[in-house]
Amino acid sequence: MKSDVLQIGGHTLSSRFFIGTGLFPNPFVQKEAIKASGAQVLTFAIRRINLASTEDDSILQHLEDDNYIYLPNTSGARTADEAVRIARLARASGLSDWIKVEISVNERTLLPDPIETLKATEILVKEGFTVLPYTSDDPVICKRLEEAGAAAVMPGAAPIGTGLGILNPYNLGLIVEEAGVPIIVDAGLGSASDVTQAMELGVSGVLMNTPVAKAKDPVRMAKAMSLAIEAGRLSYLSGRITKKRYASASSGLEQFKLK
Amino acid sequence: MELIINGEQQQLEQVNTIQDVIERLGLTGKPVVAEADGQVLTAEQWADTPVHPNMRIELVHFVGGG
Repeated sequence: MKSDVLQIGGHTLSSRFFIGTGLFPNPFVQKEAIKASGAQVLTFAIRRINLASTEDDSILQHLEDDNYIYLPNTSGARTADEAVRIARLARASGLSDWIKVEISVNERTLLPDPIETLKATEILVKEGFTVLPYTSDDPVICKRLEEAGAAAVMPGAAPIGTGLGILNPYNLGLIVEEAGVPIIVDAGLGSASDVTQAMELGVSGVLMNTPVAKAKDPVRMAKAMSLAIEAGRLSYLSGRITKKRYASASSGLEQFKLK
Repeated sequence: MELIINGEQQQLEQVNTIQDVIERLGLTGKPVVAEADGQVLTAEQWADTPVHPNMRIELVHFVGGG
């Protein structure tokens, strides 16, 4: 088999799984789930430190392995300016110059604001960030983000945390066909079958948090998702059969006739 | 000195720089990022960034997120 690698921002990634670090029942389960996922890229959020209890720990103290690539997000930002500010704070940590642009205004849907997302992407690319914008599953905006210099574009499958799966596979397929940068499906996936479907549509990877962290067994689900990514990717690369309306026997019918 | 840290008024004595503020709040050695009056600072800049009364300081860190 030919080698099949994913490259983003000058890195060759060992896994097509980007995993989020929120919502896990405890740091131990989180660490084990990350291990089981095989993910190399980990997402985080940036928040104010709670000064009333500085014991309130940062997520990073539980993860010592420096093989990870940190992908902080700009969640909480409602405008491009707010996202840019969060991105600069994230980079000042010295841990990463990757940034997931995430800008939402509607708290019920958390759907991304594609116009502000494009503005923030343009600014952050100029400032030298490796920008991975989370956006809606619209082929036009995805192309615009690529043209603005995004290192990868991350359309949502469905609203964040819903587990509804891929609401518009047609659009996602078009996005992949048009893309000149990796497409990562981010948000809305629920189970391994959703993940396989995404990979079979030709996306380069998936970003998940809730479906792993909130599964009854997050560690096992992380492994399931990892296998689904691999299965879906291999299936995509192998080229599926075309669908036919009627049956065609696997062994031929003529030889079966016994006189 | 009166400072506005993470949106709240705080009284901290004998602080001259952002480094002093970090130490006074018990955050030394923790993965913290500071912003002073809208200016994002790297850790190397903390000791060279003087504080003044009513300076607006933001102290943030990474938390779990997707």
